[in-house]
Amino acid sequence: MGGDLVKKERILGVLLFFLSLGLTVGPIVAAFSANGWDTKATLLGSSNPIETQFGDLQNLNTQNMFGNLDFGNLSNLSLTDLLSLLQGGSINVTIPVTSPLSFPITVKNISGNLVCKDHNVTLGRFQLVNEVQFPAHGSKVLTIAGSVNTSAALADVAAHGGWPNNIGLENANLKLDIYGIVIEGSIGSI
Amino acid sequence: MKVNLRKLVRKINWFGVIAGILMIVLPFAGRWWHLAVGTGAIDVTTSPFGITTTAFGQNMVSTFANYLFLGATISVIIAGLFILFASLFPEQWWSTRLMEFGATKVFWMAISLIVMITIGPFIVNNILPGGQTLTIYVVGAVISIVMVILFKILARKFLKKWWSKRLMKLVNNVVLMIAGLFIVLAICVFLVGKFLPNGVQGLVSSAVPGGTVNINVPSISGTAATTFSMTMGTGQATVTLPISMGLMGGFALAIVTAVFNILAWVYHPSPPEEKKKK
Repeated sequence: MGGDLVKKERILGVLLFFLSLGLTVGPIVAAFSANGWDTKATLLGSSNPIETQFGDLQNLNTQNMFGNLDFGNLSNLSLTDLLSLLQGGSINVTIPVTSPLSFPITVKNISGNLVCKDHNVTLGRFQLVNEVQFPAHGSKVLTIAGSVNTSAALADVAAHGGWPNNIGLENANLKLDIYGIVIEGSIGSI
Repeated sequence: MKVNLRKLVRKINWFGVIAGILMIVLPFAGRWWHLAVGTGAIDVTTSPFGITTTAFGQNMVSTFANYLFLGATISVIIAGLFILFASLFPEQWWSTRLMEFGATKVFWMAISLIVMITIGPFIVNNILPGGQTLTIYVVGAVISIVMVILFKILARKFLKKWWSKRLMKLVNNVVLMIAGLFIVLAICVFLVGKFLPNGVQGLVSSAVPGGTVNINVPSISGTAATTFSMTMGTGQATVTLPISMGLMGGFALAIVTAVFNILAWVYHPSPPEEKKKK
């Protein structure tokens, strides 16, 4: 009688072991079978947003975002703006930008110096007024405050006999926020 | 036949009844742990019964993970039912086996999670940068294995009560797991030393000219930031990834369930073989 009980108890132990095994191995076999034994599709699923979004980040460069910035346009400044600059004040310049990314992005900061490339003279400084949030592939206008290094700029204008055309950027930095990941770097490196 | 209800009620393993009910409820009581990179770049909430992963606002679905979690859910619910029956009928011949089937399941699930979220960041923060020596991990593994052997000998010699043997078995398995962890860490140190002599920093420098990496991952619960810097052309770019993680409400219930499970298991009558020996 007692021997029978122990035997039954052992059989139950074996059955429970196989139940445990089945509940561990079964789902693994079922998962691979459901995806036609394709390892990548089984483990990662059909879509991998990390891969596609990181691929999208390759579109993120200043050329794609700002197009070809033409600083020669600065010569078309209104008289009021020009006077404000000459008196050491700042002016706001608006630049329309379209995000090349398929997810939202925030431009937190843009700053730097404008230099005359011909004479290597720092003409002035620019700084983003407020951070701007772009929706996916969205277009917004960036407002950038600019100020002029009056004496150096006037000397350069005099040297050129007009507003210099060959203007470049110096110490220009860009700070972006993509889903809380902060990317900061010099314009040109991003 | 007259049934003595009071006697029956007194025999019920009440810890087991509570543990069984908690185990049936546990898979539906919410996630145990969350991990976030940035604010929505990557969000993971998980428990042994499910995982929700979103990356850049899109859901990620893994059939493998879903089936595995489904298996764990069914397993815990069945174990809960078994514990419930075993506790209601503690003197039946099948009672101890059913109790043993699931008594430590939730305990090991909770321990596994804690181990993963402690050891994972430890490897990333301390071993991947390189420069670690094997000694401490090998000594740790040896001490743990010696402890297991010593406990086994002492238990065989001095522990006579069934409940004390069960408790000692649990302690022994925990120490054995610690030995396993030391061995895993030792293997990691060995592999990093062999294939990444300058650590992950060396790997980044060789892949990206002028690239540096400052890895900082929180452990169990907290916030930290990992920074990648690279030189590109004449400029420098830096990427900062804020990483935060923490335990969730479901984990608290898991701990309560595990405690009741252990109490039920320790309190439960011995199996027929053991009774026969007596």
